[in-house]
Amino acid sequence: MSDPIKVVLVGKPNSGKSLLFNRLTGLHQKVANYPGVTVDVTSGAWGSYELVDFPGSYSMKPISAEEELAVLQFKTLLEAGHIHCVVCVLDATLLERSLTFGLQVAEEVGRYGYPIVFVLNMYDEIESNRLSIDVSGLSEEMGIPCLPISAKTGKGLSDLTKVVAARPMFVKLKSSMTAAELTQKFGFKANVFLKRMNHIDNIFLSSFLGAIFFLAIMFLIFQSIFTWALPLMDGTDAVIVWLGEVVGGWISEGFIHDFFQDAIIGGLGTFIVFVPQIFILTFIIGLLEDSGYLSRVAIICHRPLKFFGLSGKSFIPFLSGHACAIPAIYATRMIESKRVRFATMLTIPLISCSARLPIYSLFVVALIPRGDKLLGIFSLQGFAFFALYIFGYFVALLMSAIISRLASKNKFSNTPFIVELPAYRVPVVRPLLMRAFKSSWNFLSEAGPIIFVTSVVVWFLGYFPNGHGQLESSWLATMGHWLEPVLRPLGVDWRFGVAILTSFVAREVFVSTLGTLNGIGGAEENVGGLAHALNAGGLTLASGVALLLFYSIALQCVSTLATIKRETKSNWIPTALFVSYTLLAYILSIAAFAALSH
Amino acid sequence: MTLWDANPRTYIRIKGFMEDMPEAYRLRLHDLGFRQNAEVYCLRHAPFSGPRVFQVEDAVFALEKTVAVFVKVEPVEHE
Ligand SMILES: Nc1nc2c(ncn2[C@@H]2O[C@H](COP(=O)(O)OP(=O)(O)OP(=O)(O)O)[C@@H](O)[C@H]2O)c(=O)[nH]1
Repeated sequence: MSDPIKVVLVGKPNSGKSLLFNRLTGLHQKVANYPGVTVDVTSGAWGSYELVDFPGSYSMKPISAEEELAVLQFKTLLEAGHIHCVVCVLDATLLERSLTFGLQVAEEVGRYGYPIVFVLNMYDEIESNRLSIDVSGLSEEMGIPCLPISAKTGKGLSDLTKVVAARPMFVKLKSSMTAAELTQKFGFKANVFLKRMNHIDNIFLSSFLGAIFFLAIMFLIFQSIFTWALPLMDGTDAVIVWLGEVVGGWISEGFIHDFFQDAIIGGLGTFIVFVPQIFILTFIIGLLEDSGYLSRVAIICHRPLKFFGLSGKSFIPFLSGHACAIPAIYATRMIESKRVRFATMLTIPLISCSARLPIYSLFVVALIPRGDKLLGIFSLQGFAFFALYIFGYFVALLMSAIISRLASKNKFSNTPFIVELPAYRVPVVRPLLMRAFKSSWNFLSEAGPIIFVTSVVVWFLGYFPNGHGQLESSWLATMGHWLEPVLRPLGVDWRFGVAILTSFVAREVFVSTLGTLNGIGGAEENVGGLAHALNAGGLTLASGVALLLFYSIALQCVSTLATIKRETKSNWIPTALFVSYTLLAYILSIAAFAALSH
Repeated sequence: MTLWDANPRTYIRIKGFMEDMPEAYRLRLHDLGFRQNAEVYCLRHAPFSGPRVFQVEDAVFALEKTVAVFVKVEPVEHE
């Protein structure tokens, strides 16, 4: 069978191409009001055609590597043939700008003699503002069919299907008019869209109100991951425990039973609970992106972040990193500058992710008496948490300054920060939900197998050689004893060594391992009990602080390393990163122990 | 005077570009509408001496200092 004949979708970033693609194919590609989200070429079936969604590009003269790739791919695609027609998506609310791009595309496509159709997307906004464009006049003048459509409401899409099916013969660009002249003649006059946007920007981009809104929105995001996600996380946890009990009941006691309970349910359970958090965070970030606000956040944060070799676009990945580093690393794809992207990606593991929370709370509860107050008002425990978060950022910024300094000597290009401010829009919820599902699923399917294998290995080491699940006399314990010389400068014994080893599955496993070794069941829910046992066992403040510092820096997460490996297409970057963060963590914690144990 | 020096809520006209401006920057700005003789409206300076926000034709862009200092401009009086 021959290849299906292609219809190619092109458009400038933020023209609504993704939404149109989703509409036409029923596929759910990511849609975001953040210029430049489409990076990979996606295709899907649209009737009997293969609809190819092209990465959004500002022009046919690219500056970033990604754009260059896009333009090159576009030309390759045109050369390869099998093309029914090209659909160029224009943003009707930015007519002149879109036409400039459209004319460039038409010229390119014309060289190959393919038919082209212009769709004036976002026409719903033109109508709701009682404006109009002389669409037929425009078609007539250019000799290119133009159609008013709305990817949001679906209006005009059936006309598009008809026009594409009729395959309008390409007539060489008739008009010699420029985009500006065409807009002048056929477009609308007063630009209400810009005025409205400017009014809103007067608030969001002002020094005072802008900062207040920014802080308020960040606060809401933190609330959403740490408070609103909690019931969902507890629910997920309960379901997993229940599943473990039900299925565990069918298996008779012994090796298989223990394997199922501890390696499968225990290992996978610890990370599935993060899915609700990732879902909620992705959804909320999607809402902010789609509304147009995130571009403003990038602008507000640009200056301070640039100081550390980052850019305003690094902010969103950092923010996602509070839930989990893996989706955050994917989020760096929208950073055009390769150098900035690397600096961001490689420092995300230092941002306090939720897997660090159980460890933080264990030590904070063990080291700081509950009622203690800072300056008589703030809870000292709460303050310690806050300090740990800030410490994470501090190290992340420092490291990114170093990394970007190193990278600047390398081949990594630096693309300037130029951001188009999109119009503010009411987000379209359905694609955002789909996207949140997709990113949760990516997390499960990509981190899942790695965590599974790691937890099985760790479980075997902890279960054998005696085969009775006696952790104290297992291979893992032997390894913990080997680690004792390394642990001595931190003032802790082999049990912490075992816990550190097991936490390679996922950091929070540290807590449950310590629980097992100290004979405290369900340590993750019962942090107080374990904290008490640690205190009774003689955990000193110096050791506690040393371990906290260690965990806030060490890159103990196999799936994060695997994701970095995939995104950088390099083995040595994740290896070097792992070694250097572990060393840094170790040295700092030794220093802290030495300083505090006097 | 460069694009970076433009005051908020003023019009300026692009006179040209610095000679040492990287070609890639020039091309990108050209595509966005920052061309010789184009009239640009400076909307605002982002907080914390951040990027400058400009309107060119019908779109709005934020430019960081690294790029904006390469663009030579002159003020334009509007009634
Ligand atoms: N009102 C309205 N909004 C739309 C329409 N089409 C898209 N949008 C919105 O416009 C924004 C950009 O849409 P996308 O589909 O992400 O644009 P894109 O061209 O694929 O952008 P990149 O992925 O960045 O290249 C989103 O906020 C959409 O919800 C439309 O017809 N009407």
